[in-house]
Amino acid sequence: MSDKGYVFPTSIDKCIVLLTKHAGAARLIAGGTDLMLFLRERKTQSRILVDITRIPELQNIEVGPEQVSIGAAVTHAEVALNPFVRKSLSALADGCESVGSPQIRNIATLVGNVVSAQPAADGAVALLALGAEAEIVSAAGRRRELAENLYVGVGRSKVDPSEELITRLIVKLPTQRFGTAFARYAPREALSLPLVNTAVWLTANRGRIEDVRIVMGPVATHPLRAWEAEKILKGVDLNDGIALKEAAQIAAREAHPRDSLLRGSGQYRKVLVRELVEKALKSAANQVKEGV
Amino acid sequence: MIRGYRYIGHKQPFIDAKEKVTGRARYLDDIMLPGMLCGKILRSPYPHAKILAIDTSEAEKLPGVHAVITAKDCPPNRFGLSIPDVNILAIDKVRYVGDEVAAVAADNEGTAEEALRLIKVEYEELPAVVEVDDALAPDAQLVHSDKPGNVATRYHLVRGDIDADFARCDYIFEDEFQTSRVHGCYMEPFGAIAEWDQRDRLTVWTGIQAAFHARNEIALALGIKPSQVRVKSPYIGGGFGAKIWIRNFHPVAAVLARKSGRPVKIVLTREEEMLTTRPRTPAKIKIKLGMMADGTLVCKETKIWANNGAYSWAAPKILLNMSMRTDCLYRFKSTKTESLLVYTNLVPTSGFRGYGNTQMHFALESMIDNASRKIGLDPVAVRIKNAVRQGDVTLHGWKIRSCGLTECLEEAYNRIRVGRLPKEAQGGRIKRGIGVACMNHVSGNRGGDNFDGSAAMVRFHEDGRLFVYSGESDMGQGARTVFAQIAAETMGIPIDDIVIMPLDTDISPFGYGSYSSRVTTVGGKAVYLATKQLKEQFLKLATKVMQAEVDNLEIKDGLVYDRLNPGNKKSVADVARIGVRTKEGAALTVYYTYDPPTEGSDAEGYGDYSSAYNYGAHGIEVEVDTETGRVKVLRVVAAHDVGTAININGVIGQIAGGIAQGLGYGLLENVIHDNNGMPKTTSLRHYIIPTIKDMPQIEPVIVETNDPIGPYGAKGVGEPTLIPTAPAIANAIEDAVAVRLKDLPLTSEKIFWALHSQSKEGRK
Repeated sequence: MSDKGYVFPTSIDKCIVLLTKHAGAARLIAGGTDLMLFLRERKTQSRILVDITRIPELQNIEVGPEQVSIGAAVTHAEVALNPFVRKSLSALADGCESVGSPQIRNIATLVGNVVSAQPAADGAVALLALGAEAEIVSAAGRRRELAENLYVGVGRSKVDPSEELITRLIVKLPTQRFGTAFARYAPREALSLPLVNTAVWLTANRGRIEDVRIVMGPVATHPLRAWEAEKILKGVDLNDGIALKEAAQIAAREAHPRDSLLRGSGQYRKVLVRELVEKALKSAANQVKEGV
Repeated sequence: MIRGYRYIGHKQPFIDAKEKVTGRARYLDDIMLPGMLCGKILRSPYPHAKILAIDTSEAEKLPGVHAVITAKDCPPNRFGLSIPDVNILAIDKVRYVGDEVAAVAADNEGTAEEALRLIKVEYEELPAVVEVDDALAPDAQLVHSDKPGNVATRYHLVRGDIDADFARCDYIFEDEFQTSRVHGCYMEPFGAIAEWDQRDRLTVWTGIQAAFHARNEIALALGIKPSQVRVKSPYIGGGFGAKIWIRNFHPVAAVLARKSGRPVKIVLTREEEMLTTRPRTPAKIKIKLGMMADGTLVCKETKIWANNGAYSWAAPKILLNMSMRTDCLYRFKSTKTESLLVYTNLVPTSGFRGYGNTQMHFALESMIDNASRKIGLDPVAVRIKNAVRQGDVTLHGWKIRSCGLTECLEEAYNRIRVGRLPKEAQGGRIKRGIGVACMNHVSGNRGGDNFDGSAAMVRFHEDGRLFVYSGESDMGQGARTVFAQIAAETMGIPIDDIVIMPLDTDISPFGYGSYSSRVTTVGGKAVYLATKQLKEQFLKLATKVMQAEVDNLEIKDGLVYDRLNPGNKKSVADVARIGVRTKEGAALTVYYTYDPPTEGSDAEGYGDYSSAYNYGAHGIEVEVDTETGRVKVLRVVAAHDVGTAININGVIGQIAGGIAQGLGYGLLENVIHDNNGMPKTTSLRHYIIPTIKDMPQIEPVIVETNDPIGPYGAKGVGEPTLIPTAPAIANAIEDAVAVRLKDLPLTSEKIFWALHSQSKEGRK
C-alpha cells in the first residue's frame, strides 16, 4: 500500500498539478473498491493516492435538454437512484444497480467501472450502449473520447490514472424517441458477477428502428459491440419480433465467450447472449412504443 | 406449552442474541493479549511437489520478526483421526495447494506477510493426482509413499442374502450419481491464539466445535500430555462440521509461540479458508436397487468411490456413514456396500453438515424417485410403504425408539401440493414441478465402546443464580439457549437466572463436542440430569430451612412453596444464601456424567449406536426456465421429527439454514480444481452460495414423537435439515421438465443441455 500519502485536491487543476508533480508515482483514487485490493495484493503500487471525491465539480449528475453529465465522483448508487436516469436511461440505472453489493455501490464510482476496464462491468456495459463520451483532463489539456474506445485489454484502460483524469461521462439524448434496456444472467440473485450481460439503446422514427447499439459482456476482452446485429436492425419495425430474435442470434454469433470452469462453457453462454439480447431488444422497443 | 412447560417447547429468543447483535460478543479475533504476535503460514503453490530446500535466513533478519519455523522446528509427530497422516508442517513434500510449508510470527500482519515473501522454497514439481480414477490407475503417483494404490480406507459391508434377494425382485434398477466438494462457508474464518505459561502449559483460544478432541489432537501433534493443553472457546461464528477437528495452524501457533516466547494469533484469511477448509467429501455412487412390482424395496447394492484429498481427517468416518446409514431408512431385506476412499492432490475433505449422509441421500432419494416413476408408482407412496417405523431393529442393528418418518413424508407431500402455482407459464417456457425426499440421521454416534455421552456441572451461587458448565460448544446453533431452557425448566427458576459458562477444558466437564447432531440430545440430557440432582440437593436444604416435608415442596418461577401451607414460601435465592453462607455449608453443586443406553457398533458396523434416530422430509416446488436452464426454488415444506422441540425458534432457524445450504449444494456450490489440481474457486467471488434473495418460501413442520431417551423427549435437528433438500430439488426438476440430473450441483447449464440434448451434439 501507499505509505507516503493520501491527498484530497479541491479542484481539477490542483489534481493535475499533483499528478504532474509526482510524475507517474501518484495515482488517482475515487471509490477505491478495486484499487485498495490491488494495492493490498501488490498488483499495483503507488507512492501517493490522490482522492478526487472532494472536488465539487465532479460530484454531480447534471441533466440538461440535450445531454446528461455524470461526474467522476458519482457512485453507482447515485446513478441508479437518479430520477431522470431511472425514467429515461433505465439501462444505466439497472446496470448500476447490478454492480456488487449495496456497500460497493455506495462507494464505487461509475467512472471507476469504466477505467477498471473489466469486460463484465454492468455499469460500463450499459454506459457504452448509451454511446457515452468521456471528458479527459491531463496536463496537455482537455479532450473527449468515446468511452468504448478507452479499452486496451482485460483490466487495462487507455486512461492512465497516474497522469490523467476522466472528469465526467456525457450521454447525449437523442431528439427522436428512444429506448434502453439492460439484462444480465447470474447464478444467484445478488452479489454476483454475470455469466453474461447486455445493454441495448435504440432510437425509432415512425415505428421503425433508426439507430441501435448492442453491447455484451463478458464475451470478449472488453465490452463487445454486436455490430452485425445492429446493422440488420436498422429500419426494422419495432413490432417485428422475428427480426429482433434474428438479431439476437447474430449477436450471439458475434460473442466469443471462453469456456470457463467457473462461468460455464462458451457454447452455453452464447445461448444466454441470445436470450438476453432478445429480451433487452424487446424491452427497449417497448419503451419507445410506450413513449417512456 | 401443551405439557404445561414454562420454557420447553416455547419460542425462546437466544440468550446470547443481544450480545451478538450489539457486537459485544467476543470472537477469537477480538482477543488481544499483551505482547501478542501475528502468525502467518507459507503455503504450497503446487498441488504436488518435492521440497528441495527452504531458506528462511532473509525472513529471520527482517525487523519485527520473532520466529520463523519449518518442519525442522516441529515435533515430527503425525496426527489426524483414524488415519494419522498429517504433519504440522510439510516434510520433504507438499500434497495440495495450500499445504503448510513454513510459518512466521511477527509484530504485525504486514511484517508477517513481508517475512513470508522472504522465505525461499525450492520445489520440484510432481505430477498431480486429481480424479479418483487417476489415483487408482496402476501407475499412479502416490500421494503418500506409505499408502499403496492411494487407498486411504475401504469398507465391505453385507447384510442378508443379497444375491437371493435380487434373484426374486420384479425390477432391478441401476444408476450412478456424483456429488460435489462443498465449502462450509461459515462466517467467521477459523483461527487460534496459542500461549505457553511458566509451568509449561499451553493455552489455545479457538472457536472449535469439539474442544476436548482439539485438546488431545494438539497434544498429540506436539508430543505432550492432553492435560498440558487448555482449550478455551470464545464465541464461534459458525462451523457446520469444518471446525470439528483441529487444522495444522493450531499446533503451528503453539510452535511459533514456543519459539518466540510470546502469544501468537493466527486467523485465516478468507483466501486461506477457500484453499484449506475441510469441504464435504465428494463421491461417485453407483446403486443397484431391487424392487417388487407393488413398490416393496427389497435390496440395495452400492459402490462408492470418494475423493479424500491429500490428508484423511474425518473422511474415513464420512465414508462409513455413506456406506451404511441409508440402509436403515427403509426396510431393506439385504444390502451390500463396497466403498473406497482415495487420496488425491486436492484439498483434504471432511465432514460438513450431514457427515456422509448428504451424499448418499442425494443418490438414494433420487434413485427411488426415478425407479418409482418408471414403474408407474407414486414415489412418496413407495417411501411410506417401506419407511422404518418405531420398534424396528434395522439391518445394521439400530433400535428405533421413536420415528416420525411416515408422518414427515405425509406432511411434506400433502402441504407441498396445496397452493401450487400452475404447471406452466409464459407459453410453456416456464415449467413447474414438485418433489419430495426424506432422510434419517443420528443424535450421537458411539463408535465401538467409546463414550458417547456428555457431562454437565451445575452450581448454585448464593444469589440464586444457577451456573451451568458443559463441554459441548455452541457454534451459533443455540446450544446455550437449549441448556438454559432445560436447566430453568428442571429447576423451576427464571431463565434469566441461568448463566451458561464459557467452554474451557480446564474447567468445563468432559464432552465430545458439537457434531453428530448430538448436543441437545446428550449434552442436554446431562444438563437435565445434573439439574435434577441439584434440585434434590436444594430441596433437602429447603426442608430444613422451611420446616416442610420434601414431598410437599415445589419450585416455581424462582420461589419455593410448601403445597400444604401456601403461606410458607421462600425465594430460591434465600435458600441458596442460607446453604452457602451459614453453617449448613451445602455444596449446591453437581457434576454429572451421562452416557446414553446404547451399545455401540461392532467391528462390522453392527449395533445400536445412537441415542435417537432423527427423521425428516422436504417437499419442494421449483420452476425451470427451459430456455436458460435456470431453476428457481419456490417453496419448501420442511417436516422434521425432532422428538420434542426444546426451542421452536432454534428448530425453525436450523430449518432455514439447512435449506439455504441444501439449496447451494443442490444448485450452485462446488470447490473446483482444474485438471492439474489447481484450485479455481479461490474467493467468495467465484464460490457462489445462495443469498437471502435466492431463498424460497419456507413452511416448517415440527413433528414430535417424544423420544424415550432424549431430554424432555428431544432429538437432534442440526444436520437433518440440509440432507433432503438437494434430492428433493432434483426430484422436483424431474417432475417439472422430465429430466433426471445425477451430477451435483444441478447448474443451469447442466439442465439446459439435458433439455436441449440435440444442440449438445453440435458442441465441440
